[in-house]
Amino acid sequence: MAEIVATEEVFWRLFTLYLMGGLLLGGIASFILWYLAFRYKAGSPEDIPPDAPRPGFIPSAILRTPSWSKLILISTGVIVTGLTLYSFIPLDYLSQTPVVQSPSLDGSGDAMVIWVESRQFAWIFKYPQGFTSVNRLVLPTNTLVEFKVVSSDVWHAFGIPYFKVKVDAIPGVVNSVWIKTPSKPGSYGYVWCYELCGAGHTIMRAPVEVVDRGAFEEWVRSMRGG
Amino acid sequence: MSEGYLNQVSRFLWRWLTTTNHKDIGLLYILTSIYFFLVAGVLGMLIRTQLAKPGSSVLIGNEYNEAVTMHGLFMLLWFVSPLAFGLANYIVPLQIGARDLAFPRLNALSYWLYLASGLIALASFFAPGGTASTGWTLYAPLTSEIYSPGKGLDLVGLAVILFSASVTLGTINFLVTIVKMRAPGMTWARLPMFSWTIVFTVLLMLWAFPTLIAAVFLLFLDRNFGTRFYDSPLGGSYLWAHLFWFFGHPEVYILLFPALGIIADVISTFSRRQLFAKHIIVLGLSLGTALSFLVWVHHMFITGIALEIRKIQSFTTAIISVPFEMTVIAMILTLWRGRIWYTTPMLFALGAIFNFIIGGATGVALSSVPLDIAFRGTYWVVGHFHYIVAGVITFGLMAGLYYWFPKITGRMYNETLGKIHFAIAFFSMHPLYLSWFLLMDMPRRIYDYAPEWATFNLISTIGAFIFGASFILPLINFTYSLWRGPRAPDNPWNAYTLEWLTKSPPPRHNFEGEVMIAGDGRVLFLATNGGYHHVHVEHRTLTPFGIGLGALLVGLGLIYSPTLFTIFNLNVTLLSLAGILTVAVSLLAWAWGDLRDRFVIPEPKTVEDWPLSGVDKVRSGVWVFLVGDMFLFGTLIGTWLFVRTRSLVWEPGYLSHDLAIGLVNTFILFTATYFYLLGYIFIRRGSTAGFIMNMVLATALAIAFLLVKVVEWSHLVSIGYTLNTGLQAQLYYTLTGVHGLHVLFGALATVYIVAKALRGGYTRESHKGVVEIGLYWGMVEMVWVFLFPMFYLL
Repeated sequence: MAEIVATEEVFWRLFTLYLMGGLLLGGIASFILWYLAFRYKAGSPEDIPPDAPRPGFIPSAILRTPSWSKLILISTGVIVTGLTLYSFIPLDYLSQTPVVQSPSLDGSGDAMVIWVESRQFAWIFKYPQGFTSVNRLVLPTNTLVEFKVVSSDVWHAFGIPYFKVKVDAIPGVVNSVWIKTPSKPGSYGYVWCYELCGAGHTIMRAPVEVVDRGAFEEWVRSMRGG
Repeated sequence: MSEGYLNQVSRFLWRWLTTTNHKDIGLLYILTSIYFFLVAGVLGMLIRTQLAKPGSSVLIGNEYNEAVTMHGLFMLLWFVSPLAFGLANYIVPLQIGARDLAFPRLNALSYWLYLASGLIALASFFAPGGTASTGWTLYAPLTSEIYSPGKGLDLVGLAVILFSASVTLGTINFLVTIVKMRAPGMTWARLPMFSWTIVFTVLLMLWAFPTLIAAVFLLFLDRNFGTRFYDSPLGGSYLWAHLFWFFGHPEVYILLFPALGIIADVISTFSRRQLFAKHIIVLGLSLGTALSFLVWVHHMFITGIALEIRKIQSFTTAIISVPFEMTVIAMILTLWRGRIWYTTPMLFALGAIFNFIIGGATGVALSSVPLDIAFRGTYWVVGHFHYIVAGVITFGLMAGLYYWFPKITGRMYNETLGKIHFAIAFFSMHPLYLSWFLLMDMPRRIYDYAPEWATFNLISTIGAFIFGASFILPLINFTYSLWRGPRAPDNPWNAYTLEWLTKSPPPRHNFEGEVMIAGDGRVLFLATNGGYHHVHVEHRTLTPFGIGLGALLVGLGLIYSPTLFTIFNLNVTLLSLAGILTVAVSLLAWAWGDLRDRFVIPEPKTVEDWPLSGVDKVRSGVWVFLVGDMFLFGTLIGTWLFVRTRSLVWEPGYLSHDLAIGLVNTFILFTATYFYLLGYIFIRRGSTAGFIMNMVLATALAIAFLLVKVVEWSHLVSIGYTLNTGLQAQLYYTLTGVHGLHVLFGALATVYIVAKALRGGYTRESHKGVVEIGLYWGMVEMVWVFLFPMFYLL
């Protein structure tokens, strides 16, 4: 399992790149904006440069632009499209649940597959062990989990902020998304609904608990017994 | 109440209800849009009040969702575009040296439909069950009858359709005006940036709004006539999302472009420089206009759509950001070596550019699919587009209001109060919206949240109240200045565009003399334009107001007044019937005025009208309309394709349509057009009798087509093939029904032609309107060429 990079890790790496780029370029642009704005402040409204466009004349706007302005154009194009092309790598990675050799809990495949049925206004988790849990998501530590998300009424969106994954729950469609659970047990926020689904959209949330394997087995046993 | 007072009131009403002058309409637009801005702003403040701290219960459940939905709809549809088009109505004819818009009556109709649609949207709050509560994106199937049973959503849908109709008419008007009515010498290269952006805006509107009309029309059928376009398990939700965002992404630029144009003009004026690389910006914006129809899937990155499509549209999204980055850089570089005069509009323009940098950078992050997966549906997205809509667009529109206030009113506003407004708005919007980027996990449209999000929500709410309150200042400023402000000179800013070369406020005919721009750019005011001298005629008419009023009554009738009878789920009330009658009477009055040539406008001899030099105004307008209409049918045919490719079998309710009846009708329709063409040849040869005979035949065949349709439909209904039979049936009735309506309108138009010919309105030399309605017939026929194989052969 060590070789699998968690989804939130993928997000934070890419986000840091975009954030740094945005801060740097946005910072430069803002600096130039405010610098020019203060540098070329007029002494008075009558302070008009001799080559200013004059009232009574409408200039024809095929202007010569300095050659360095083309450089700006090309470099912004390259940066933006480059970033997008680069983000196809993590996109490919996130789109396919990784294949691992370590056995998962139910022994049937690589990832533990949990079916998520969304409805107004609840999350219903169907575990591979054959039980359902309503509005409570309990996961074992250090496990690859795949959610297969469906909707039984309107359009919802399944998302867990901590893991930075999200997928739409659309009637008639099965969408899937995967995460790798952390090795530290604890409470990891909530599953939230990210698409307005009606009056109870706000209350449509389920706490996410990550527990160690032993505790998870115990919880599974209690759920099946009950 | 004295006699004089009553007289004054009625004169005032007559003055404003019957006006067709572009400056009057512009003012009406501006004032109405400010009203809707206040409504939407109050809703926004209510939302922020609820979100000030976790666990509060000021506005929860469906009421909260209603506030969220209507805040969005009012801001986007009934505030931003109408304010931009209010300014455009007033300023564009002045900037291009025209007397008015191309079709003043259509312009008035646009306004009254806009007002009616806004009032219907307001009335929806009082519908039983409240107004729409599905978010402004109206995602299916939450909008279906089962999940949103209230009539409020129907009213909102009707309001959106009426608004879109108003916009489509405005599109025709502005496109023809700017292309065909520029003063001699006002070449495209001389066109000010604001007018340029209006060109791109209306082009986008022409393609986007017919799609919205079709999409909402199908929703209306779903909710009231038992069809199941959007809650079909075969991808109904996807269908809505695709149609909505095909409209929705261009809509983003429709909102943005006019503000960019204002900012560009303001920056240029107050830094005393020409806009840096203006021709590159124009090229860039045209690229953005074209590409805006290839990026809609970036609103659907997490719907489970194919990976390849996501990659392509992620790439096009990155590409489309480049023109806007260029625009920002060019605006910044315009300041270089300028002499910047800090007035209120200039401050708002500079603030808008700064906000555009933040809004743009956070938007680029969203074009990356892995980041979008995390941000979709969160406050990061909300923060991004509020920086654009509030920070760039609203700031840009404010810059425009301050900038043109002296021109429009003839009074100066108070500069100090204006600068205070800017300072408060600018410094309160960052706590308000920047906090949202730090709430990047918080879902949109929730009324209660996790405790760890409390701090930034509180900061945001405090910012919101200061930001909202700051807009009281311009209201005070403008009202006081209108009454007591110092007289404005004609050109207070020493600006160089054409609108500043006339009086403040401009006379009703805009310019003293005929505007002409010499080869070196000198603006001349000549006594005549090749013998043409503008004679000022006031064209007053009550018919546009009548149509708007009728539309309003139809809308209100959906929920109020006693029900006469019910079709499917739709209550037809006394009020609705009265509304339909009002519309019909107004349309007849409109046609009657035309028959008597009451609205002929004298035209200047020479104008700048490349590339439509050979085509007259009405024909250009018809062409523009037909392009829009093609997008309407394109949407419906696209819906057919979408459904057809998703369901290989047409079950349930599949029916192989009778080929014979389809063939007969195809023959009838083609023959009708043939007679129409013959009629045209007759009038070209000067034979009025032959013309009338052929036109009557064409009309008769069009009616025959409709009669065959009626027989076919009633047979189908009798064998149990109805709107609710299944996908094929509902597509069949909807598409052939909309086509049938087009045939009906064509028949009515041909009847009008016959009436005009009988009055001697057509001669060999002058037969305006014959070719135009012929073009329309051509389109109706072309659509049938698509529909016939779709339903009778495949």
